[in-house]
Amino acid sequence: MRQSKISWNISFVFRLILGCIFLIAGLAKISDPVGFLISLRAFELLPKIADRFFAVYLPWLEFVLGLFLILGILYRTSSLLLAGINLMFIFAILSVIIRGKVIDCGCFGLLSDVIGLPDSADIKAVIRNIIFICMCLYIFRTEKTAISLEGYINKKSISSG
Amino acid sequence: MKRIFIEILLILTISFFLAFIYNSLSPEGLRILPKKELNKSGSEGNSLISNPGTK
Repeated sequence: MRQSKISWNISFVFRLILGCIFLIAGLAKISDPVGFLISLRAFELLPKIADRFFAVYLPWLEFVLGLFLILGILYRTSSLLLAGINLMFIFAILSVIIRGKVIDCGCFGLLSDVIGLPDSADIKAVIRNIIFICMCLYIFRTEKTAISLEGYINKKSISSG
Repeated sequence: MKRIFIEILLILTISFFLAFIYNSLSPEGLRILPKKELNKSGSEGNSLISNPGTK
């Protein structure tokens, strides 16, 4: 019981950290879709039609996943999806490293210029994404907790019903 | 497993609709991206991003 409480708390902290990071990163990219499109094109991985779609869609997906993690709505599925997205980022960055290109990863959009967040597609970005995946999988592994909107609603419906 | 799959579809759909609505309303949305490219290649075009000084 005690151990599960500790793992709930760790999962909650991970949710807040990941949620804040992806919420802010998503917002930064939403505010500058053209900048993000240019970053995506630098990777030279997507066809021209698809990169336009991704430049608009991916920031919103990050934003929604970050919001869901913070609020605790569908957070286990959100963490799984976020792990998948990070895996995709890792493959994209590794392909750039293998090809010997030096580009910005576009991870934090405008924020990287404004507050100087790390934004180059290098091995540090890969390690950062691996850490994010580990955190996501920990959240997914942990059973449903009370520290979430979902848990709160479930608790309310059980007590009232 | 089935539930997770449905939840993934739900999250992807919510994000898609948010992106769609935002880009329908925002002047910096998907609609201006082709104009931006036109300006880069030297053709005519009028967008707020490529001409920051214009209203």
